[in-house]
Amino acid sequence: MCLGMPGRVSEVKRQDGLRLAGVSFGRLGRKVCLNQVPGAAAGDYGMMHARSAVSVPREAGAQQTLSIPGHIAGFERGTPVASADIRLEEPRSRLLASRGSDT
Amino acid sequence: VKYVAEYRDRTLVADVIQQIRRTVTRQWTLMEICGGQTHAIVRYGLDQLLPPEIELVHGPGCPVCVTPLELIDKALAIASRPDVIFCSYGDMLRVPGSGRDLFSVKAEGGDVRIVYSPLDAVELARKHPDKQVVFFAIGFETTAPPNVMSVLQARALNLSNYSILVSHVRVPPAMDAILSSPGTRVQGFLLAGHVCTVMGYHEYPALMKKYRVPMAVTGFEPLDLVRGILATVQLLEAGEIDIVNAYSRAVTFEGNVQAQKIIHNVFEDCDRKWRGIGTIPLSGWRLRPEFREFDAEARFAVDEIGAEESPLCIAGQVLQGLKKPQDCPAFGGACVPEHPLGATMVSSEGACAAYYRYGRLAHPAAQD
Repeated sequence: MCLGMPGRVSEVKRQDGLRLAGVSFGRLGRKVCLNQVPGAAAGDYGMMHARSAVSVPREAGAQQTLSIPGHIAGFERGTPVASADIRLEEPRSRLLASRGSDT
Repeated sequence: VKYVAEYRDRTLVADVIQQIRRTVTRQWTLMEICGGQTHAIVRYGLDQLLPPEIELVHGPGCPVCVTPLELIDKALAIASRPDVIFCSYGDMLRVPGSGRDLFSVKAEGGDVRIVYSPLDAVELARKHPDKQVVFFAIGFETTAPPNVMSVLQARALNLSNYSILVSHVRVPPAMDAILSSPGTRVQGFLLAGHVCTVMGYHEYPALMKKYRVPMAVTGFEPLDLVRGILATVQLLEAGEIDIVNAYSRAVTFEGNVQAQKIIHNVFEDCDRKWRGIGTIPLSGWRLRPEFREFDAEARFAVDEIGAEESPLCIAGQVLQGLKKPQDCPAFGGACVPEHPLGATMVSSEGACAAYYRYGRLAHPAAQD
């Protein structure tokens, strides 16, 4: 249900207080609400869900996915939690044992 | 279409699978949250490509599955009224309540309509001022923005004949419930990419720290899914507890702030019952009091309706990753998609329905 479909915005107009756009999904065209992505304009791609745009894909992220990551250092690690707070101080095996894991 | 085909590239997926094989040294159990991810994993056979050390268990992120039975019964009661046009996403129409489904109501003459957006339902309300138009507003965080937009639009147009039957659920409280269960086997999470598109992933560090479980924000295409698995396995093998964004083309840490603002203007947190699991505190959204005039439950006085689940069904344990569909004695026999007994067989995104559709009728060991 939470599927998103990328589509290309072709034209934008205002109607009844809504910002509506014609969006093409390949050969299929649909009218989509852009109120939640105020920056989206004609020519942009958007991630569409239930005929509403929920985000505009980032080109850099799109290219990054297509490159083979060698290590997690190649992924975006956006959490602002200080690494000292989140890094395990005890071995993983001991932690799992304390949680009753059977692995 | 851009942003689709390139993420289904067989060679790229195979390369990432190879990296997973080189990385893994021991058994790990990961849970994908979203039912769309479950469906894609089983559809593309990604679970069968993974090394045997990695087990995927399937989370509760299928809103059709977890909508409680009594709310389906309330929908059936409202949809049966002659003065109502009842609108819903298509996948809710065949979900059985205690006795029948919305298709049955339609067959009996009820005005039940499939819409692709709640804004279509608002348009129907404008065209039919003599009718009450009700939209079945189910979903996770991803679906909340269009649903609240419909309420705001109905208010802007002064429509007094539009209301929504709300069954909104949220991912973080469900993860909290799963991880706090004494029997949990989950060691890492693939976060639901499109939920994070709207909400960001700033709610998850608290959970990550509380339960010391690494997570990867993960998309829905095969390449996205295997990259999310690789990231989580790398964190586990390194003994690091962190959150990695493996779906950075669509997700930022903050999420869609504009959409969050709209949601919180209209919805407030509430306890919510999940089909097959039970009530999870503060796991849902409901309309704020200032929008109560759009609440279909209040408008049609269906509060007293209750319902009982089938005692045979183990969907609650499947939804928490405690059991697999094949562990259920009713799976594929008494319980099939045409006649589902419980939550995870009612929608194509449910784990039981996906396993049944793609022929996973027995455990891998038994199939061998």
